[in-house]
Amino acid sequence: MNIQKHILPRALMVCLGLTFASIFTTPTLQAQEAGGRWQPKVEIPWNRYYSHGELLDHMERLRVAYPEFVEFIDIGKSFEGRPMRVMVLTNRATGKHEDKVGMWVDGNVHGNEVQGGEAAVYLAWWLLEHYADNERAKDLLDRRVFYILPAQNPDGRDHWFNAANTGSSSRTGTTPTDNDRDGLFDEDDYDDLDGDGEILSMRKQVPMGRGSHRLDQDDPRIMLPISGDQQGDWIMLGREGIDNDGDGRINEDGKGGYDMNRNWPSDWQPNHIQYGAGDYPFSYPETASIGNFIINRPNIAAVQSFHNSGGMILRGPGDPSVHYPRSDVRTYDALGEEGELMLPFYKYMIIHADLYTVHGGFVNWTYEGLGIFSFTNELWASPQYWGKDRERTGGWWASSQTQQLEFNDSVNLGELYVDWHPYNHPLYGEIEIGGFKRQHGRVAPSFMIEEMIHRNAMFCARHAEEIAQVTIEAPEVEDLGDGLFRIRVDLVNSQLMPSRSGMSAEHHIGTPDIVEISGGDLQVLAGGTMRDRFRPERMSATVLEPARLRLENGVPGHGRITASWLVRGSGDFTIRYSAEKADSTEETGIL
Amino acid sequence: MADRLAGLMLAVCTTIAAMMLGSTLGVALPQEPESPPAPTPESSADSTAEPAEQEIPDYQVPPNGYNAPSSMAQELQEMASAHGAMNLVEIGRSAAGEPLLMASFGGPQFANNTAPGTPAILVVANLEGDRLAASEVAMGLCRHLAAGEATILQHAQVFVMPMANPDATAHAFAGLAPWRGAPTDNDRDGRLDEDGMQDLDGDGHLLWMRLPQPDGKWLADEVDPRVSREADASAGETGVFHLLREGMDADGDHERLEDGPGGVAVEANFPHRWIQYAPDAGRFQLSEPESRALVDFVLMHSSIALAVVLDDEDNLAKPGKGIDRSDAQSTDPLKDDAALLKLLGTRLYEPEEIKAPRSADHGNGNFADWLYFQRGILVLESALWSPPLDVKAPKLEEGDEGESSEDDKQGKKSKKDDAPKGDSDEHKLLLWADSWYRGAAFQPWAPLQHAQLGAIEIGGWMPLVLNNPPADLLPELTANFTTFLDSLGKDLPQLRWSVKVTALDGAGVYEARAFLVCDGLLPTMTAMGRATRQQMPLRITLELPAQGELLVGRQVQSVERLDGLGGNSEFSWIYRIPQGADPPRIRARSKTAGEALVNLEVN
Repeated sequence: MNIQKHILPRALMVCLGLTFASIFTTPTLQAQEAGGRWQPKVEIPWNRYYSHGELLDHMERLRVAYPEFVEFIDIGKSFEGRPMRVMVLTNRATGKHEDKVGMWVDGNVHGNEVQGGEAAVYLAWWLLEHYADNERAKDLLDRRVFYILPAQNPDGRDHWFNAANTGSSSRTGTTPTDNDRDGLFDEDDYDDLDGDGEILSMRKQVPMGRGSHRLDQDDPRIMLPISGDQQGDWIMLGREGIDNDGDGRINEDGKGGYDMNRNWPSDWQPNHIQYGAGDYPFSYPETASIGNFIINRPNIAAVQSFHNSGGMILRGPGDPSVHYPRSDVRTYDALGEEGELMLPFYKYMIIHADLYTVHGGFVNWTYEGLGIFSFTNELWASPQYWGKDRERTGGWWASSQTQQLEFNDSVNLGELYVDWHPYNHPLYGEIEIGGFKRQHGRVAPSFMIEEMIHRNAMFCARHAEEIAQVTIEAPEVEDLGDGLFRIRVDLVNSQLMPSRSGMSAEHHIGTPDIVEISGGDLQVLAGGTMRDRFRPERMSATVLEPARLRLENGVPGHGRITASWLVRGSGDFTIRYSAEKADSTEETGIL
Repeated sequence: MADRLAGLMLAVCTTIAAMMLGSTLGVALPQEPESPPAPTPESSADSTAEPAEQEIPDYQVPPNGYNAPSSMAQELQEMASAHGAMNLVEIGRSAAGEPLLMASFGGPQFANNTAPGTPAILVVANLEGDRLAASEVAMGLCRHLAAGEATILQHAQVFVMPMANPDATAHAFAGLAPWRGAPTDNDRDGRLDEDGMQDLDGDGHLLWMRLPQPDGKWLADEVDPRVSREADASAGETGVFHLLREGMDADGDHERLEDGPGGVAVEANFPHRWIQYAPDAGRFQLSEPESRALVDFVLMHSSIALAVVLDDEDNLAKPGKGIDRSDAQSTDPLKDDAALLKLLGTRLYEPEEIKAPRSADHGNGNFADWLYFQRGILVLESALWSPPLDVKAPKLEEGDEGESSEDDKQGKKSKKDDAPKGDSDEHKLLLWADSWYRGAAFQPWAPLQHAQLGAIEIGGWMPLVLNNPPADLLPELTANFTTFLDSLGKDLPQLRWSVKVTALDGAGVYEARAFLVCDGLLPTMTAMGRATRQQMPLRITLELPAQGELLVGRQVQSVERLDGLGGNSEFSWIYRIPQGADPPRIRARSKTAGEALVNLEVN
């Protein structure tokens, strides 16, 4: 057999990303590095948290500084009318965003979990400010697109800042909801009784023997539940509030009262099975606009959603009944394990197995429903207060109260805690109000914000770098005599992520990758993928539309697919690969 | 996941099977056939002796005699302008832009249902699209209600949606498959709707093709060769042909007709047991304008106490015993609610001339299940009619007996084998169709040279005949359903107080003990409503006069629900009122059962 190889000059390759990247550069716009001193063009203090409007202002400053890299798409409005503003981050000189494969990054679906908003904007800021001096930042902005929505729940975010709250309240959006089923909406929220802008705890001293708690002898700020034959002289009365609607209960129907991260289609369950699910998937204006945006962008190949807290890199499933294909789990594991290195005190975990069951979660939908590799990071782990490993500081959620108070007293000079002080309650009489402020516990203290968001932003960057990148190797042409040729070509994926997730392949999500051969007088008799390169006749061939092969499984991560055709004809031919979640590319050959 | 996939496969298989057999054969057949009783020797002798004396109607196949969807829409408009008691509201638009029309009768203004205490009944017909009879019966109900004499309107507001899926209905009426919706890429080749059904023989109908091929799984039945049935390898049979929808392989990919027009079934797009990866279920729950509009309508009308769905499923004909606990996959109602279905089903199918229909297999993601399992609203489902299986067969041929005894000898006899050959449901349906429609219901298989497939046969059931009765039966079905709906008025929950007030001293301290009683068959909330916590509980308020003082008891309290037929709950208060003050009042409020108010007078 006479095997001819035609290797074409690389200059003829039209490999979108790589070629464009070298042709178009915009050297004048970038931040400067002078004398080893990096000087960003846009100064953003990353030592505090911003209102939604302030976050938008920062985004606008970035757009003004880097107009060719930043544009905005307002995908809708929140319930209270705040813009749902997606920042589209890519170098427009190298192509339109919808023609590039990219990543969705969001934060703050839970209103109180604010730091995800800063992390999302930080990602854009860091990449932009390093476009000029960092090849990899440049490559990400040239070849990839980031769709960044800092707050899925801008109303909840601002409510958390603007109204009195605890660290955990204002998780919800602000669509009025009748949580206690009395026909009234949001009529019995917390009440900031002492007017200090915080929702703290209420405690009351009672005659010895009638209490459920006693004071810690070493630190009377700490309430200890009694046990055994101990006698108590204090009772705990919950969070600051009164019975606003006179139904005998306190704080039972606060603002909103649902969980937008249970409002997505995959494994969605109604409220009586999944608290906070809403009437149906996409029933809130915020989730509807996000869903509509993402469904219509099959070029999104990676998703990151920022939450707080606990120090977790979470992936689905949210329910044990959902199966993830093994090949995808390997991809997730590789990314997650790198994340554990990048994020000290964080652990790579599975939502249902290591945290709790979630029906209708966002990243569950983006992966299970749309086939996109998706993570939820829980930013900030309280062991970080003292930088000690979690075993010594009381587990996942909190270091001990004593340790947290020590941190407050020493490292923050008492900033984070309101000492117990008397108050005359309309129902309970003389009580005391006190406790940690909302800024403690779930969000990082100000001086630790930048490290938290930098590490998480770079985890996104690493995820995006591993999006499938498929190249076509030079085709091999075998002359079978009598004008008949066998053409074969390898599609090679240099990155970790497959061009189609196993989930997509298994459930037929989206359109399969397509590899097509065409040429002036080409007659394609059969085509297919080759299983054994030494036995070219062993291919899964089709004679129906053989020039256009559908690759349901795509090109595996760090792997290759060999396509092959039996053709008649002569002259030039072109092989073109197109995919939803990998750049299109083509290669030519000659018969 | 495995369950879900199995469910998906099952749904797909069922759909395919239903399509292949001419659509209603996907229906679940009664476990214990009620009618007819096994023919006695006498009766079968009668039937064979005097077949000609059976009264054979002479019907035309549907949609002959049915109203076109456009004329129904027009009639609704005219009715609404002619009758003040009727409102017609467009609750949305279909995928093709047709108005989704909801008629409202009685009660306060349609858009502002604020009067306390008017429960509402919702009637929705023909979500599947090819259930033209359901639309007709619902139209008949509208005429009855618009005329203003319906007794139900003394008890409730009634919402009626005769054509819940107008796009599919229009297609079904035109003799096409009842598809709807935007183009979809069912075969995921990057092209939309490029390979659908096609009328090859130009007879105006899309029927079936028999394609002879060695790997075919089907063969023609020997008793009635019109019947296509799957070869039974255990009986030594070999398949002969494939059974396909009539059409071309337009995109040349050998997956024939894999990407026909439209794709999403509205009746598979609701949230309960929605199947994420089923091609016809939609990209997400309520992704379709028809399903979304209906759900939003229900959510906006919390007074809906009862719903009736007229489609292909029937939970009244053979209600089960019910289950103790529901979960995300439940298909059977809770026990207390099942008991209500049984009572009401008996009433609907009580008249002698009305036969309880067979129900289609339980669908995934359907409207009725969402109403019941996620909202807790009692749903009555009726298929209204299904083709009778009891048209008497001509005498069996000799050979059948022989085969049966052969099985006996081999000891392989099962109950199924016991049935004489030629006694399948499709055979029975053909007997019925031949006698009612004189052959017009089934196109005999006729040879045709297919441009791509070679020699084939085209034939099969005419669309609609298995899902819809001849139009001549519609008045009777409509009258029966209308009577049934009117009868529901007295079943609606009604609240009543029974009060005893005692003076505890002569100085204004009283004790009131009160029973809140629910009259009517239906509870104030279904058992499922309690489970879903989506319906509001009863709210009981003590209203004291000025200077009145509550000493014992609660000013405001809730009761989750009261059973019907006298279900009750007891309350007590001790209070003090000044001399000469108005007596206190107690008020009970329910979204679905109205309001009950009583003065606490010493009695």
